[in-house]
Amino acid sequence: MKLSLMQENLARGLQVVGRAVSSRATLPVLSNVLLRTEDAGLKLTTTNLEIGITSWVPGKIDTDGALTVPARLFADIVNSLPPGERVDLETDGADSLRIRSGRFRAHIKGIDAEEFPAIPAAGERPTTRVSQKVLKAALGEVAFAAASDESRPILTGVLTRFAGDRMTLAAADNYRIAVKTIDIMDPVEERALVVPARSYTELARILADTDDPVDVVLAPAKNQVLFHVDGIDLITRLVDGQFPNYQQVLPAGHSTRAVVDREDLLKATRLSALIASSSANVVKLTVPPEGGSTVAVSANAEIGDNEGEIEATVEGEGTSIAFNARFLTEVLQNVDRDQLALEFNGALSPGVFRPVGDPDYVHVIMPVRTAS
Amino acid sequence: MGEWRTRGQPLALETIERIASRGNLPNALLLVGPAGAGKTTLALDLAAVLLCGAADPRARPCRMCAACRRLDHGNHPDVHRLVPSGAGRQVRIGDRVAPEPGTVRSLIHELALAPSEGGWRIAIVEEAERINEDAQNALLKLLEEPPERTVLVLCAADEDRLLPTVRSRGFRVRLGPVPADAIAALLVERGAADASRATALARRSRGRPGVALSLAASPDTVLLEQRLEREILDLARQGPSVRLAAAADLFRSGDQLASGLLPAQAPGVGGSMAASAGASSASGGEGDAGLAAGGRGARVSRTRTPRDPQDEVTGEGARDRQAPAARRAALLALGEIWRAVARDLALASHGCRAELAHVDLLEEIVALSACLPAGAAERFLARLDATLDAAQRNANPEIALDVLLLAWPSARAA
Repeated sequence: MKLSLMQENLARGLQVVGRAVSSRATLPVLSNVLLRTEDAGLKLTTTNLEIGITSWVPGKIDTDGALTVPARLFADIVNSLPPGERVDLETDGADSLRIRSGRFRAHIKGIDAEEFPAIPAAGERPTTRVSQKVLKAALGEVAFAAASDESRPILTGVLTRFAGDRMTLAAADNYRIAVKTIDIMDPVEERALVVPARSYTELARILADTDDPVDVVLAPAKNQVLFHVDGIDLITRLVDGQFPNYQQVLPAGHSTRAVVDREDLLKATRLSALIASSSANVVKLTVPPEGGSTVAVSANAEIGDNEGEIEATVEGEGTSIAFNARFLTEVLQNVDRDQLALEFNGALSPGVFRPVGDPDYVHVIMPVRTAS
Repeated sequence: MGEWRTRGQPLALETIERIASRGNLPNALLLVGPAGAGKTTLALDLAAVLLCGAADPRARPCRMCAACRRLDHGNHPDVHRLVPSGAGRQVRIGDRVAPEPGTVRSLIHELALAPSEGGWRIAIVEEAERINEDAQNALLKLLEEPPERTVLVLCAADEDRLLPTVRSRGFRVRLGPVPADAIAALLVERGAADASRATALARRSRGRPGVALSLAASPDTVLLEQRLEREILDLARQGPSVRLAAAADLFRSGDQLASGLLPAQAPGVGGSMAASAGASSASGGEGDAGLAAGGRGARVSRTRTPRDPQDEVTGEGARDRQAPAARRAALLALGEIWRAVARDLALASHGCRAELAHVDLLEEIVALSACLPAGAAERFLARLDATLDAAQRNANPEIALDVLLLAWPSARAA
């Protein structure tokens, strides 16, 4: 392998793929980045066995070839080279690489490219396409609700269901559920898969705030899914198993509805959380009967108590319901709208949070039973 | 015929070959046998035959294809190895949210994902008796409902220390001691020793190829063992005060054996030995995966930072600074040497000279055995077992050593 590239292009590519390099890799080769010449440039690939990221860097190829080299070290070296300079890469024997740029030279040892796990490429026709901006926003509203605890591995994933020209993302842990449905550009026959939430967090990082589409390729083997944007592939393994049927948990109706400003409620919740965090981290929302104009947010712990009021438009019965402050804060932080409708059905039924003006998102949190 | 690396275990190998060729493997295999007998090697043989890409099933494992080479270099994504780590040398359950590699939760997380290459997935737990109780319970669910095409291989020298719930779910394959000539042939074949040294090391390893390979890589360990054996033999001719005075020195030597102060000499021979200098014994894929780990090799790769032997202070001071676990490990290491000597004495007293493990001490052992009361060595062995057992259950290691020194048979004046 022998080729030349521009330093800034190579540095950017290495930064993108660096996200999939684990600092405590189980297999030695996973600390490495795979370099492979392809078409008119260099393909960089890394994987931690859960996700794999591939990035293409344009360059001028003299001879084809492939090699893996330690990812961190290689990136640090490239970043230390003078910007704007040409970087020459050349393999030296089967497992080492010479780097040359201007008056700098380096030589690093690697591992044979054959040892690197097989990562499928996006060669196939995309199964469907989705606007990057829309998918990115949807992931932000859903992925945080997945379980981080490994005790039920299926819940660490996000259910991703394709049906016709819609795609539904759902995440749940034992106390909350977030569901969002978005439009996709090409209709797909019905199919459901569970993608690790961590992979979606990485995908959200790669997606840009543009209407340009991201290609989605469901691998034929059905155990991987690939996302392709300009110059970058992200491939993720799927979580094995059946996602629980969340639909039966979504409440059908409500007896109380209050529309509030999301920022106001977030500020009031954060204030109450200061008190609540000293004990059970429970924050109480008190909604007056129809005609009332404020919702009270309060906390009561051994260390003290507090109460804040925010403006609201209330329909239905008055009620009082308590939630874990963290779950409440997280939904308020992550929802992408200014106004939020809170729908309750008494103190012990799940609370529903719907952004006003977005019928495609719903968030449900289990309440906390309090003594009073 | 594929290239199997397991030596001298015809029955175990035949069982593994049979179930591998049938393709319907049990969810969990329990490989039981002495440390260093070749359990990990057999587990890796199984992984190789299941993952090998050779077209002809009878040629598997070919050790040439990409899958075989990745396995050899610890780079196969479908092979997961758990090894004891940390101060207590345990296989731990791992963090709930971000489990560390080599822990049970990291394995559960990994196996929850769809297979990366679509074939078999093999998880190998070396020294399964070192999985702590919480971690064993966490493993249960995996044992009961494993994902498809997944085999969990538990290697254990002492299966009684596994929870009954775990033990009962494994398909048991027993490994016995390997004949000395097979071990000697292995050492020569690997270039670890010349023929005469290989024969001596094979006898010394008492049927455990993993131990023989570790010893071949560390001549200093052999020297230390030989010095200890001679000292133990000499003590049989000494009175109680001399014996008790020797305790401090014995302890120090035991500690050296247990904590791996003696450097491995040949890098690349004995995967876990090569890793011993570093602090990370948690690295699942060790250098030369084809070698038998476990046994002495594994014991050498303790995570304690090896001290320079020259820094050794006198016995008492050194002992005071030792953690209880380290003192116990020193006693157990010493106990193993002692057991081998006592075994040879017992054999010699019955005239079985050809079976002796310590060829270099043959004359001394035979001479001493003639001076001991009938059955003395056998009685000591029983006492040794009971004392080491007590030490593992938290008996004071110093007192246990004193007990052994006083129980050691006295030679009648010839």
